[in-house]
Amino acid sequence: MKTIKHAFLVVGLVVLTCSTGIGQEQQADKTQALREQLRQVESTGVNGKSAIIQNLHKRTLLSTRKQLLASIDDDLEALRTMQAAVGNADAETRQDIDAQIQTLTLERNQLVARIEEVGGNSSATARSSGSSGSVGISSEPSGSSVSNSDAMTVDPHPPSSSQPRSSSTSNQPMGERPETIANAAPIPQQNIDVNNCKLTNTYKDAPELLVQRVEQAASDIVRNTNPDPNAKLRGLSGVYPYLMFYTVADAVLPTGIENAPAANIRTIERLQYLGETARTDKQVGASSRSSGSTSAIEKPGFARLLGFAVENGGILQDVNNSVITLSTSPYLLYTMNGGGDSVENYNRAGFLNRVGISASFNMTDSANPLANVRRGDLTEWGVKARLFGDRSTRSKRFQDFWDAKIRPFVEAKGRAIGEPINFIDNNAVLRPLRNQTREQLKAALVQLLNDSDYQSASEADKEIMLRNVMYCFMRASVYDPIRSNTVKVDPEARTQINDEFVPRVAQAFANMAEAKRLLNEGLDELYKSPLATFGYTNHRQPTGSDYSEFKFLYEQDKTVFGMLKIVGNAGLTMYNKPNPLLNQSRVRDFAAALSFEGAIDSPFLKNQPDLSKITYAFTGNYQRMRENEGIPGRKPDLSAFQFKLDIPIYGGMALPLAITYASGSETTNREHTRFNFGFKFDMDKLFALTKLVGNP
Amino acid sequence: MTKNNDFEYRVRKGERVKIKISFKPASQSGSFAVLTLDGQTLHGSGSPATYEFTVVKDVQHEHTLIMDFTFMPDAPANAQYDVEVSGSNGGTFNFAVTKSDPIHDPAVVFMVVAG
Repeated sequence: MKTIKHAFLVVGLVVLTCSTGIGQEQQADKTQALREQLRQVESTGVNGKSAIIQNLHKRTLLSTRKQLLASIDDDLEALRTMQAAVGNADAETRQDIDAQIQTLTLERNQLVARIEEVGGNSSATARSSGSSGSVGISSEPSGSSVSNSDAMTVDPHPPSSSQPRSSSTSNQPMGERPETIANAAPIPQQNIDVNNCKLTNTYKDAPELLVQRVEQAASDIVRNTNPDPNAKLRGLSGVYPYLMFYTVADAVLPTGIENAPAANIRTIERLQYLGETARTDKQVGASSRSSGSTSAIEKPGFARLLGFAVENGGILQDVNNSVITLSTSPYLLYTMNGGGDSVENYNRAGFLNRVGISASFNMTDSANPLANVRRGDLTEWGVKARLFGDRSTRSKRFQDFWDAKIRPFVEAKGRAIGEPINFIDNNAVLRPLRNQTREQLKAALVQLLNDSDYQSASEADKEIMLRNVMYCFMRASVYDPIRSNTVKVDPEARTQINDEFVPRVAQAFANMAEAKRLLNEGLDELYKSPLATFGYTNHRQPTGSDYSEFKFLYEQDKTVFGMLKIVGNAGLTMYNKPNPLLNQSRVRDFAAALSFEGAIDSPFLKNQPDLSKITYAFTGNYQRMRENEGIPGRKPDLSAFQFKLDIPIYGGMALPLAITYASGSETTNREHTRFNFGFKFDMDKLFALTKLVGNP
Repeated sequence: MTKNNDFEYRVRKGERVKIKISFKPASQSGSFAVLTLDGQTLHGSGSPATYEFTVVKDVQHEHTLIMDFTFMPDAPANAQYDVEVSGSNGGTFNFAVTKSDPIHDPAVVFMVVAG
């Protein structure tokens, strides 16, 4: 009995499918004829004709569009009947029907928008075209008729929320695109099944340049927390011109040279951003006299103090072994005046942007460093002022270097990629294809954003789904139609893309490697330029007398055999309140230090993007402690020698080691040798490297 | 001018478009922006750097402005370029490109719509 019922159901379905299929074929003919008719009317030039002719043309356009709309509605109705009949019995047929419904719905919505754009009332002829049960990129609410443009949920050009929606733009969005091509064959609507596409990459052999841009777009979309889907898709908008060009260039690639080493779109490597290199030695740190310091000499730069202070709400916190150092700058006052740490504020601040203030505290509670910030734990406070030299890339010297040496490469890259993008805009076939596909891809991604699988996925999986949909779409809607000649790109355009644009992009991108090399040299030079600072430090001695230290710090690279950097300190210290009982006079000591530093490549970082080098330094100190004269067990003349090694062992991580010999100390005449080591994490570098790994 | 999203705007033919670019934190790093309009380098002036162009294309066409922002190694993780886009027919919009963003060279599109 069950078998008989099943047989009846199959026969019934076949009859229904056949009957509606025949009707559908006739209907499609009618729809296609109307499409052709509309194309002819649209391509009829009426510019310069009389007002009567122009008016008649407008009315004819409106009438033809309404007829086409009615015909599409008939098609949709027939398709929905089939959709209901086939149910879930035949997944393949159901899928084809769904796809056709999507295509026609999109076309319908565009038509409605164009009718309304010229003031026609689409609801007069349009029947309900509810899309209940359909999957895909329907742009109208389920079961509703589209009687005005506000009913459309997918608006490719909605006004910004910060911009009032004017009457002139509210009817415009869908109507502006896609354009109708006057002299070229109509572009077939290509839609994808988002539910399937999200699962797999169907464009596995996509050019690396395309892959890079798809990954960037997906990452940007996932990171974007804006709830407005249109705003969320800025990542797609920002790369779509690139996606379009790379896909077109791939599609017009002559057969057989896909892997040829000659400049073709598939052999061009990913583009790396400039400036993604690493540097060492940027901590402010405690002074060289602090017990937690592994450095026997103090550097003149407080390289990142100002900005760090600002970005950390005014105070920079630096923990080094058992000492916590807090730093800030009067420049902060300028940033609080509005505009933040901007170029304008920086320039206005004048001398104040050269001054930094810091305070160091002994740390007993390492779990909560700020808990140690108590007056009783204060070991020193100080002021530093930059006298001359600037090792920041904001310096005029570096800006000039950039303008002369690097900017031309970046400009050439911009022109090389900008030209084909502009070419697409001027091409009668590729421009409408771009306009149409961009909106369709947006609609597909909006559908994905609303997909329950997507919404419950991890961020990594969301990125994969977004990428898959983009690959799937670019393959199905741009690559395949051009490759199969469904979208006809003329031979001249193909030749220009293959022989002119792609080689130029290849050359410009290859030149960026040279730009990067020059930039690294320039940065190297910058970090070696002379730098001088005056420093004042007030040392707090819990068991002795507090004293003040005045120091001139100077640093200059490449002064010894053209290889080593020389760093010099000279200064004197004075007691705030000398204690005669301890043999103290106003002047506590004179001190001088000289250091020679060099760097070699790190064997641990081979084939890694971190360019940090092993740095080494030989340092000699001399100190004359006047109060030690004539005191048993003490020396007035103290000297020390140190060898320090900073070994980058992995990206963003380094191991600093130091061995120090001292002829004595301020409190004893005993010779001693000590060994210090630590472990250094550079969060900025780690971050930059993570990013590089993500975009190899 | 109206905005679709940070990297997509609608403009009218003849409209003058102005772009202002500033960088933060200026105390730590320099500003290195290069703009290319339709395959031609666009030169800016002043501080903050201001770039201008006129919409000369027809409806359905678009101007593409590639904004190439370089972040130097001395720029901290939260460094950013602030961009202000405005049109002579009204509309001023802002967006930022930060060092941590995946896209440092967005192709900003100005779609020409009927006026």
